[in-house]
Amino acid sequence: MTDMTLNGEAVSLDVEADMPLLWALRDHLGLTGTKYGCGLAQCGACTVHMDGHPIRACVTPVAAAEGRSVTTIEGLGGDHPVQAAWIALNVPQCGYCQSGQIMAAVALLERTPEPTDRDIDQAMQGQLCRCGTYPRIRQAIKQAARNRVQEKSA
Amino acid sequence: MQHRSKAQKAGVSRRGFLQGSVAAAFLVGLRVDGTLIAGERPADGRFSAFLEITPDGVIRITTPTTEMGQGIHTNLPRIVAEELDADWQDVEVVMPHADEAFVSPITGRHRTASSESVYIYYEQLRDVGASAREMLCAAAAAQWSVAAEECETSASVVRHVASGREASFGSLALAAAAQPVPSEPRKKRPEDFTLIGKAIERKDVRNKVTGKTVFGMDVALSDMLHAALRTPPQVGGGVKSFDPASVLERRGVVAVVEVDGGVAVIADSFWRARQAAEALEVEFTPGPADGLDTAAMRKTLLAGLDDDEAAVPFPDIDTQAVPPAFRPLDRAATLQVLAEAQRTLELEYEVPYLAHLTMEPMVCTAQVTESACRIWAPSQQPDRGREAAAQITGLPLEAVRMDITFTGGGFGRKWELDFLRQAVQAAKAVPGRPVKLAWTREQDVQHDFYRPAYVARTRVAFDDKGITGMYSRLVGQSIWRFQGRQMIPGMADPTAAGLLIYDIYDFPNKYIDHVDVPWDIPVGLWRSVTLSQNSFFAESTIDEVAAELARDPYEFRREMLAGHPRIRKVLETAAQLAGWDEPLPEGHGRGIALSHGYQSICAQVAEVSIENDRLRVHKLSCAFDCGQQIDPDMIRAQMEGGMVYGLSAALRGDINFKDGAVVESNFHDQPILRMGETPQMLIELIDSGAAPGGAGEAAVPPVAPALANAIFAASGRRIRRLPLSASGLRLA
Repeated sequence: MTDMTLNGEAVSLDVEADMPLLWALRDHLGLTGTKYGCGLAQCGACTVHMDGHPIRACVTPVAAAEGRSVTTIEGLGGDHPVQAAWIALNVPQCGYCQSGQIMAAVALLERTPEPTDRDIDQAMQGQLCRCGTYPRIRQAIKQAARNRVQEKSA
Repeated sequence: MQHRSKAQKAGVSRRGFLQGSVAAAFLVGLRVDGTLIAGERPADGRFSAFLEITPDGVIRITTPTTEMGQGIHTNLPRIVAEELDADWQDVEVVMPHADEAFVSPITGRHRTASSESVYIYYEQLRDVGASAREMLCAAAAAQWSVAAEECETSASVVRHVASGREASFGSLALAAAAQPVPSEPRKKRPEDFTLIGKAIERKDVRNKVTGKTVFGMDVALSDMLHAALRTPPQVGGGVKSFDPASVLERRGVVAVVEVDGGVAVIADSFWRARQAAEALEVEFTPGPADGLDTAAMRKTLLAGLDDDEAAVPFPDIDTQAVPPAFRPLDRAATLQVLAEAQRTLELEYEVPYLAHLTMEPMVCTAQVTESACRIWAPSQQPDRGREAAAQITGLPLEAVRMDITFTGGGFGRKWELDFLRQAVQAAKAVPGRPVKLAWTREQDVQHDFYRPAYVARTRVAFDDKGITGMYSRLVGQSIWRFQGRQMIPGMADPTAAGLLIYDIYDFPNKYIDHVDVPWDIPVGLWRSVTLSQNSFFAESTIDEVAAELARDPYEFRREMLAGHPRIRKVLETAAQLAGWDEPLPEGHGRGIALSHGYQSICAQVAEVSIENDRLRVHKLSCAFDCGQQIDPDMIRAQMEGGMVYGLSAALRGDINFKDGAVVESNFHDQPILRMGETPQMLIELIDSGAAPGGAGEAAVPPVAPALANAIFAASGRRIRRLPLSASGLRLA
């Protein structure tokens, strides 16, 4: 059994300890917002937060989540400034990679509230998008950063 | 576990897989012949319609084609809503299912391909909306005893201006269903459009940023099983034997079954199925590329350039004739011009096999019982997919229901039905239980239907005034032959020639032929298909002639477009956007390229610099004319995405074979462009007033030639082989 906090709720999971967290989330906990793209930590579609840090759920065994707090796209709530910026700029095309993109962007802004282009390049370099939404992701991160800063100063 | 049931329930009902309810409603649909059908929903519910207005005012519009990222889920329903005068907030978009009701009267198909969705449904969907609007007006007019012509509509309400009466579409819906269908509904003038042509929020964006969208990979049904594949090492290989007992005892494993191109292991989760599939004892048979490797294949392709006997001409298509006539081009005349020319050039170009790499790997869910089959698939071919399921199950077509899910990228890969067939075959083994069959990324890279490798040799005759003749020979696998499509006797696969020599450029004596190579490596439709390579061959060749003549490559093209003002305008716009005449920093160069296809025109200018084989792409400027724009912002998104897709291929796209198997396996050895590598992109849309054209593929073809021509301008180095990494060039 693996015990963890998932999107704020205590969860017990009876699966193999070496099952990747990705598949436990998707097939055993019904949270399909986190995507499979490569299985090798190469594309970032499976990005979730563990204790606030972005990790690749496809190469993280369930056992590694024992006692940790995991946040998935479903746990962001829907009104997060990053999600609002994504909507305002119509960022997604097919949308398959966007959960991972958003989780990576949220982690970036937690760490670096006013990121430079270089910060964005570094934080997002492992997040692949085959539709080529990169220019809009960059714009949306900047917009979300501005909105967050304004909210805090208001 | 509570998490599971909650999410699974939502997964099914949220996207409305069971389309609508059988409650009374006003429906408007299209017959296959393009005529309209309208009325109340029949008791049996068997009336699939584009438009449904319920008495409580919900307006459901079905998008007939598959949402793969291009925004069609918003943009086709918007066309109906425009003519209907619906309040866009009232509109719920319904995902398509395979049904004759959604067959395009123009293509006779229910498919998503060729960037055609807007232009093959545009007028039909306007008719649907305009007819419903007139029927709603007629119903209101009858209630109020006024003339229908005196009624106006806006925001889902009919108004009689003189008396001030008004009624909502919902309140009129059932009365409208009893009205006669107008034979020629009056449609809006484009200048009166309020929805078409405006940038609006995508209907699917909120679910896509909250993880709620149900892609093919996310279908979750009660009692569902998961299947993973074990596939042969070689492309197109088969199964010789396997031992189910080697994995049946493993936790969660339910069944092991042979399917097309592999063995499916069915279990209670994907990961368990996949672990078992990898442990399965299995022997495979060789595929059609057994023994082939890339170096030898390249030799065969290059040898084909000299194989006059195997060369088959491309037809010239006389579109004025009814039906269009196919006639060979004049080879003798072109050869004579070449023999007598003052100056000639002979150029050889080559491109590799390419994989699609949709972010969502192949996946399909199927459920088979004795009397019915259900499919949930991210598919570009609902019509043929449904037929394939009927054939595999032995059920009549009417017993197969195929729902189209959101698609995590298509690009032509999800045109193929291999994964759908496998899912149905697997589901047959566990009757009654839904089975979701998913591929791994490795299987996706190694068992794709690739963009075929091609080589081209072009001989150009020219003098100081310009080009006097051009002969191009292509060597590579015919996609049509591989797909088993009927060829024109004595003629080459007509699709392979597209834009190899630009018919729009004003010069005489054009001849094209093709040498097919007898391989059965799976090949297919890759975003922009033939144009993806031919645009590179053709627009590089034009550039080489311009350089030989010491002409400006932009002016050289422009002068050959005298007869095509609409196309010339796009070229001029791209040049202006890029500041073509402005001085460049030391070491920078600009290259220009033009492409037309999908009833649209795209021109791009790349600005690059090179230092020690390190390439910097400073800027891509793109001008685009697709005629009537449905949504300028979503068109821009397609331009951005198309350029990124084209850049990925031009820089690093390269699928190699070793002993009949694909060498590359995942993103680490078949890398696509990353955010930090994406150049600045300038985009200008041109509103030419023409009928709508396609946008999804149009921005891909000009990228490679614009880039290669810019590299030449910056360094004097001519790139005749893609990807650039094969020439030792990398991004700085």
